[in-house]
Amino acid sequence: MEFTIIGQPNCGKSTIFNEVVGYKAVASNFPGVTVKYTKGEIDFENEKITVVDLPGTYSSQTTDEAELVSVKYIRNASNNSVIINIIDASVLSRSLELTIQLLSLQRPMVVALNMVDEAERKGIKIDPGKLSKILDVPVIETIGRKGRGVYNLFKKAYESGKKKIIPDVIEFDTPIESVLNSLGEYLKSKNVPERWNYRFLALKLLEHDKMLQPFFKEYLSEDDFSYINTHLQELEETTGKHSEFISHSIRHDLAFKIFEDVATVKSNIQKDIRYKMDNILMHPIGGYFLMMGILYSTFWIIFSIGNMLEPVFLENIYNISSFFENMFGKESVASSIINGIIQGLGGGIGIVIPFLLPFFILLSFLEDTGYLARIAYLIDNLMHKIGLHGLSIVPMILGYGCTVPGILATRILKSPRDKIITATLTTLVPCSAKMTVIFGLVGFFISMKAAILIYVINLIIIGFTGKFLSKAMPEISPGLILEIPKYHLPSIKSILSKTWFRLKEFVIIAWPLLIIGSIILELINHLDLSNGINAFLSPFTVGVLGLPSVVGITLVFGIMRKELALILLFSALGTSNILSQMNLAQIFSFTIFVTFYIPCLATFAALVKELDIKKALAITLLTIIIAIVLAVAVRFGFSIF
Amino acid sequence: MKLTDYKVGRKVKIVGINAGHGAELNLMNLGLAIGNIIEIGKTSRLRGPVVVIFRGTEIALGRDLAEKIFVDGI
Repeated sequence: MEFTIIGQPNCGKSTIFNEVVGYKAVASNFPGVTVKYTKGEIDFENEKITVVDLPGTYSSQTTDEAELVSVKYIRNASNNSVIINIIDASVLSRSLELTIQLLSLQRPMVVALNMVDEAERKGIKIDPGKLSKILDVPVIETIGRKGRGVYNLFKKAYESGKKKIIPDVIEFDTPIESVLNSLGEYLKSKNVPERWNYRFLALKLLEHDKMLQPFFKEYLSEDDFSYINTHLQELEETTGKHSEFISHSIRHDLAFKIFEDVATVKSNIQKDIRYKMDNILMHPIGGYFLMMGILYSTFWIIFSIGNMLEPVFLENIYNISSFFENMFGKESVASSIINGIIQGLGGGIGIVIPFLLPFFILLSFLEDTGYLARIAYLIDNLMHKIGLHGLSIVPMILGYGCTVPGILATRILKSPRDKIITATLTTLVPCSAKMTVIFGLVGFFISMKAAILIYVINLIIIGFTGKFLSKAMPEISPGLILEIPKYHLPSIKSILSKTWFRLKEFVIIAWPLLIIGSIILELINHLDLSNGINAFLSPFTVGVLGLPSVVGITLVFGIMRKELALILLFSALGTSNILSQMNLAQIFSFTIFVTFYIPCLATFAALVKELDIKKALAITLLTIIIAIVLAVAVRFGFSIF
Repeated sequence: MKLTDYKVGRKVKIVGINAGHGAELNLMNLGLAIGNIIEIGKTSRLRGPVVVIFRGTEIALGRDLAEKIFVDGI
């Protein structure tokens, strides 16, 4: 048996999922689509049950990539699956619109009336018995965060699945039902297989459902379609609405009617603490100062933890590799390869634990409390200046940790154009590996202020690049449509699982490339190719950038792993006192170059995955151009002073 | 009148959405449809988004979109 958990965004689905499945959850990819759903297994009544947590979906009539994943999954779920529809009780009316759609699938189903405590605080009291009668499915009150009602919910789902209880459909008004009915009969007469019930199929014809078009095309001729269309046109004339919107607006009204039937709302509810908090945090002026303060302290915490932990890890990694060197002898190929693996593994650990882990934990915290949505709100007008909207800030903030999850997060954007621009800008954001270079070189040898200046320059460049790209790709994007969620005290479980999922993206995509890259580097070292590479690159490194020719190899290494550029610079120069070999201008322009040029290998892979190879190459080229222009500007800028 | 013509706290009724098919569908999925009565929850400076309150949820709408939503004050 399979339980499929579906619900609108912010309804507490994943909290319930985590409550039941715990950390056994594994993410899997949908063929063709890269958005994720989560699967886990539980033992229930001595039976193995697969539990699937689908991305939040407002409606099955959608154009959103993530939502389509859910719709596709739920439609094609196996016969012995049970739908668990989670509803946020405090927004019952809107949630029921999805519930009505799910009921039309005619599958065993249960409804969880979640966050009833929250609803009561808002003065909304719901009669679950009455709701259950109207929907013809079990309705269980739950408080996911406390685990209340969750066992009961799963028990009811299990029973419905065992007995294969199919709920009644919620019928629309007679004129519409009769059209659906005759369309259904028509489909039946044309021998369209009953993969879904005929009413459902007729409804999808009415909604011009894109996903089912190929299915219909397979069984229906042109004539059939024109017959259907005349039917739909008649309906459009009587209702005065485009047929795509007809079922939508009926559901909308129906849901509100049900809401009025089952819920009582106390009229004078006090505006709760949320309004007071939002008046401060979303204040048109003060909100920005608070946002800067919150983001600054977040990064400060991450940086402090990272700096404290990093040396501990790096030291141990050096100890391990010298152990193997002693075992195999310093000069053997085997020792080079093993060293590469250790360096790659170690480099990964050296970034993951000190920087990425705290970063993702804090970010998940900001996300779960609901503050991230407020950042998107606050930043919206600024992002408009570069042709994007507020949601694009989320991938970019992630990019400060690691570019890979940042790029993957561009999926939340609806328009392909927004996705491309945001992915490009995210690539330019200095990740934690670049951060170690910036602070390790400029911060250490020049000054902290100079290091921060690099971040400022970076922001300016991101702004100009965004402006340029949005001018080059003019398209009216629909703009921001974002639900501002309630403030939640996040549960530790949910933060940890979110953190784990983002870390996993790093582990699966970036880490293997780190290891491969490190092995190649060790082999280059072993074969003593670095002098050749340095000589080959010297027209560029010495001629254009004005740097010592030994840095050539570090730039090549930097493609594999950005932070390697720093470590290798020490060994290439043969000293940790870089000032004896490079002047301030050189240090600064080297760092600028490393910050901007070519995304690391793992980022490139992520770009290919989310966009395509052509766009990934174009972005790479763009970063090289930006890096060269800036580095040269720094070189000559310094010489003026 | 446009949605953006009203001040915070005003209740208005949506009479038209002129933002294209996709945007209208997206709005409907969040529960905002023609005929619904909404309250202006927040406005921001410098062409920032407008927050509307509707049946217990708050939805932020980008300024460009909000200008394409036509409403009657009530």
